[in-house]
Amino acid sequence: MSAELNSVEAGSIEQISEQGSEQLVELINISMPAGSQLHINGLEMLALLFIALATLMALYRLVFGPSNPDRIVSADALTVIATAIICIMAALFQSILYLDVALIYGVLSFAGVLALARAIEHGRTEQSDKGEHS
Amino acid sequence: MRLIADLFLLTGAMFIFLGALGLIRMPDVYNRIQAGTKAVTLGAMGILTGIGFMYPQWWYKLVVIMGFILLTNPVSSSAIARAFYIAGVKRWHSSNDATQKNKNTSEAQEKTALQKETS
Repeated sequence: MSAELNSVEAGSIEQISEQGSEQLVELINISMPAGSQLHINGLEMLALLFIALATLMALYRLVFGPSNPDRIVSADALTVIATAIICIMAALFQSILYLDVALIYGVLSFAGVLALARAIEHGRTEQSDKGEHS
Repeated sequence: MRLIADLFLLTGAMFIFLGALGLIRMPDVYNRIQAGTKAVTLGAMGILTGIGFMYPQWWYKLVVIMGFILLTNPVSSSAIARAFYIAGVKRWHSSNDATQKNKNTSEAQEKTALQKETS
């Protein structure tokens, strides 16, 4: 009896998980542009899960970082992750236009990070100079 | 072809995941720069290669994006590290230094104790 119950429970859980993945694919299909269908694999779903976990961990470091340099480093890593995610969106939506978006995003994030580094350098060195003189 | 693309996508996602894990687990800003630059860059390369295997007619734009990431990401991370070093962000000292200091202090205490005993 217990074995039957276990098998029944496992079967119901598998059915529920299959229904959940089908509902997720349907939900993504609704949010997609019209006329394109989503064909997604198990391995691709696993890759998307890993990228989602990585984004969540980098966002944790961005929000709860103990100091401001940690936040800047996690923002630098998040720009590259976002570029990869935009390329994955191009593959999911089957449109080559998103690759242009990814390239422009990469250029602008590089410029932004360089400007941020330059600002840190100048701001802190002036403060340290003042500290030395006083 | 689809299987090769999926394998490249999965390895890239794994490297991005490990890079983000290093971003959380590493103890210092400079160690986090290392983890967040190298592993995430390699993961982005893997993902772009996988998309190139999935859609072979997009190869030129993917090559441009890959070259751009490979050229600019180390530059930006080194600029950030240089800015932090100039701004005076403290380095993380490993626990080996602390144990060596404790060893030195304990050795000094033993020496003083021996000197007291001999005197």
